[in-house]
Amino acid sequence: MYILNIKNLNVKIKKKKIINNLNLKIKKKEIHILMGPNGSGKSTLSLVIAGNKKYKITKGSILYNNIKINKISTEKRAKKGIFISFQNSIEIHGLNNEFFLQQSLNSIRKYNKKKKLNIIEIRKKIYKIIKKLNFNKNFLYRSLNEGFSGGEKKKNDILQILLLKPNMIILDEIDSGLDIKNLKLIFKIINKFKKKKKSFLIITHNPKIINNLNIDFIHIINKGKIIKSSNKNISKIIEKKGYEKFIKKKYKN
Amino acid sequence: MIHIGKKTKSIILAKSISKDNSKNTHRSIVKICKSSKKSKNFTQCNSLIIDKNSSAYTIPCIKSKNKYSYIEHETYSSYIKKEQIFFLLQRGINKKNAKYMILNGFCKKILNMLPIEHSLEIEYNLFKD
Repeated sequence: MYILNIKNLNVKIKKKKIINNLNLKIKKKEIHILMGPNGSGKSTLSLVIAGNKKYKITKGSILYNNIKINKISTEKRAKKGIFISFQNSIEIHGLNNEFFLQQSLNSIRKYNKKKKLNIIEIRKKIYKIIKKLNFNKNFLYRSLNEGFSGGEKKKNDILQILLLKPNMIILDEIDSGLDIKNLKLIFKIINKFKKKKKSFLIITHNPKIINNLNIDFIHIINKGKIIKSSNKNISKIIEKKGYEKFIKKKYKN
Repeated sequence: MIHIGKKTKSIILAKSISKDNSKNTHRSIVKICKSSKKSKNFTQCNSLIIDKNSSAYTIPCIKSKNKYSYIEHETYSSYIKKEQIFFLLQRGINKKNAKYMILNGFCKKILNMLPIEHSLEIEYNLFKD
């Protein structure tokens, strides 16, 4: 039973092909890592899974829990449990952080036919999570991501994950901008979430992540195609020699 | 805004939203007389453009007659970015609400200052489409 199953995916933007025949299968309770050189289509893949209309799917399909989601809107995909943290967090002037979290949580709960929570109940939940993340309470009353430092933005993404509890989580460069203490905290949270039957797809450039997480697969992507899928052992080779080894091999054949 | 007394301060905050082929013009004058030394003024004027055909203009005018005053003018125009709406959609918020959140955030500073009686009218105007 796959939670996310991508079959022969082809994606185009303005006549330029970005993803070619990409296959990816993620089961429940698995952590996958996606690596590759700059401009190889990693972030595009995450946006396509989220349903950005800028990118057109010319061929292939994306299955989520065995349901085809090619033509389902972004909003509904989010309500079904797909969560994406962006590489550059979006700033919105004047939008209260707490109000945003309330709206988001209640609309997702409504879709899943759960009871609507009032402000006080949500606030209690948020305060619990804030304590875990060593956040200052003040940040709840500031504008969303505006004036946050790089690390704070990433921590805000983690807070959203802990509150919304999605099933399929895609993290785009979660490690950039975080200090060592916070990074360890986030590794702990990801490992804990794995036990709760959540699946992850983590996009990163940093091979050191691999040693700290309980990883199932590593994929290397180049020019919109996955050229190598392997288990944990591959990380040492990447750390020493980079991606070139795998890319050159492909050309020789 | 006309400054006459010594060490006086003033702030002008103007926000406009243009929609449906509309044109918005902001005109202001800040005059500082010879007698009002060491006075301060800050003018901010922001505009949000929603449609392709609507536009916004700013024509500020500053007259200062002494050397010891401090005058500042700041202006920008912006539009609702597609990334912002995509981000809010990705968190499960519907499109209408997402637009409302961004619009509300833009004019929040002014809305807080207006009396409560106006709030219904404002909500009606923002939600109209």
